Amino acid sequence: MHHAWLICLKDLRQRMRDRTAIIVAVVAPLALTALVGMSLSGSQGIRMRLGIADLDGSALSHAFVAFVQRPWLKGIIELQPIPSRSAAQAAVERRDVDCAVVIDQGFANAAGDDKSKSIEILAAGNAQFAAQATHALVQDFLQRVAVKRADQLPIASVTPLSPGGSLRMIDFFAASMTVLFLTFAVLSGVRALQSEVDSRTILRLMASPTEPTAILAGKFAALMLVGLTQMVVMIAATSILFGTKWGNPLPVAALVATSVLMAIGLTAFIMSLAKNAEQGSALAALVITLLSIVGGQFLPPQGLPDIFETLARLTPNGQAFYGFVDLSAAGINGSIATIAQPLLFTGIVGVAGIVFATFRARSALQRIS
Amino acid sequence: MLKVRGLRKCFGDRVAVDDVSFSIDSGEIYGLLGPNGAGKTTSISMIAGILARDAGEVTIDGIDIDAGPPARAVIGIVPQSIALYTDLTARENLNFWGRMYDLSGDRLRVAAENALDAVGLTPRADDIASTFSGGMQRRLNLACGILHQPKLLVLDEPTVGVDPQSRSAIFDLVERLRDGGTAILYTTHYMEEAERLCARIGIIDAGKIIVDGTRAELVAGLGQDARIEIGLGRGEGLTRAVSVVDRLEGVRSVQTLDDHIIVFADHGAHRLPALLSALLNANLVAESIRVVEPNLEDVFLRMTGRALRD
Repeated sequence: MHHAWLICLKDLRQRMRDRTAIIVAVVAPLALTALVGMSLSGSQGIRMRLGIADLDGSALSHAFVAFVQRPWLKGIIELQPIPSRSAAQAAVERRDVDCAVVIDQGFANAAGDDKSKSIEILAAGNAQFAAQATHALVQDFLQRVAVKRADQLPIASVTPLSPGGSLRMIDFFAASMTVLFLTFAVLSGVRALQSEVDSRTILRLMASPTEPTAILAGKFAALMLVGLTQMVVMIAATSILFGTKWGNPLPVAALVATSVLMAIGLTAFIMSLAKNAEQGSALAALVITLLSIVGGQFLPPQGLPDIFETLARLTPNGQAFYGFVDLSAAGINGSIATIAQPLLFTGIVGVAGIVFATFRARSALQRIS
Repeated sequence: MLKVRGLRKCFGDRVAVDDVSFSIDSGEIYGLLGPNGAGKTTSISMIAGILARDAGEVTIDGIDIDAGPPARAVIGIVPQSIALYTDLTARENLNFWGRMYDLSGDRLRVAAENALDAVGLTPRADDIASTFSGGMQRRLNLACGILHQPKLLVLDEPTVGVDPQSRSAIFDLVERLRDGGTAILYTTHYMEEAERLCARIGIIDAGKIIVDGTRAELVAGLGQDARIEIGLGRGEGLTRAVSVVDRLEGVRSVQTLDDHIIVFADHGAHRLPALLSALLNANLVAESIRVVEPNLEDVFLRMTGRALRD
């Protein structure tokens, strides 16, 4: 393993000497997180002005008002009492509120039987996020108080707020940019590995008194260290600079490890399909950018049709990204179970990519020997 | 020091190396001379343990190459391409490769200094390798291969694309290493290099060593032949000239090369009048005539019917 360590150190020295790689790994994602996050929502986070027209005045309707005033929603939902349905409609149209809830008179007494009495949600056409969030809140409330009316609510699509915490726009971009640039950072290492094949230094390594497993181990260790360092620096920097809460450290650490593995596997797979390092880099940049778009790393999912999140979760980077988002939203309550799917998905993609690339590398070495 | 027996390698249906056998003693330079694609690099890749062989045996200082690291530890390899980390300095390259051969501390420092000195790169030791000229990179490439003082040094076309000054420096170093007892396997497609450096030469073509021996032995194999080059200009005259000359008494073979015909004939100079007369009778006028002492190029030409540079 002494030789593996020497190879790892040499690779790390080369990476440290590559200023572009350092910019890609840390400076660019931090700058973009700050710029994009701040420009979209500043540091205010997600806020919603919700009007409530409680025409019922029952214990049940009071309970709903209390439900949306819970401590963890403070700062996210700004509540405005409204006297009537017409006033609620006017407030929505004037944009005084993003969304309004109208609780019909007699709703509590008729719950479960009288279909003419309901909770109605009023929202402007361009306030889909507010409408969906309100719908989720109402549905959650009704289910909690065991009122069988949830299926009769007028708005079908729901984007539930993550339980246990709030996700600010800058937190979203901290996770998205970290995952995006992790892939680019690891790509620079994989590119260097391909360059080693192109320049034939790999043959010199193979001719030295070093076991092939030690060469592989050294290369892999260097890539892992580059990826892990980038992730740790990004997590520390965004926590200090932007106050980003990444969630429970243990599951975060586990997801960091499998995300780095995924990034290595993904980039190694792409690079192994190319003829040389230059072609591989161009191809990888294209694929990574496309995957990042599909993986939802440029736009927050709120307000977009559900299909986008479904598609995003089909990509390995999307899995890693949503894993971090879920952990952030879950706060300290997040666990390995919270991110079981992303852990498994990213781990499998990583291992599969590395195995495939290793087989391709063996063929390539046969050709150049 | 090096014994190679029955080396064979196929890539699919193509036989890249076929039954290659030779040996090299300590303090001897053995040349593998052949055109590009003849199987030189494939052969040395198998000898160095980089490429798995289909058949044959390779032992270095009595150790089977299949022993792995112990066998590879006594080999120094200088690949045909410049296999350097060009983002590291010359010294960093040497330190890395030295450590890979288990040198450390003062031994490594001294070995690196000696290698830098041997290739004349001491003043540029701490410069990044990418700032070096092609010739300097070639010399550093060589230094990385000799750093650990190998018993067997494998040089794969070490002078390709280098300036005359670097070429001369490489020749001097190779001769010094030989004098120091290193066994050297030297592949090249430059006849002059093989003639200058190599005690014995194996001429390889299409994966086979077609003949080997000392330079004198190889040339003597041509008998009393001399090579006569007759320039005739391009065109159908070359083909006609070949058929005219081929029928003459004493002519062993005739080939075309560019705008010349190359004639091998017994006691060549004495055959010249008859040759020219036959050409004149066929209305072919010689533009130039040269009678050349046989060399390794002629050996290759005689054995394969092609020039080394083809």
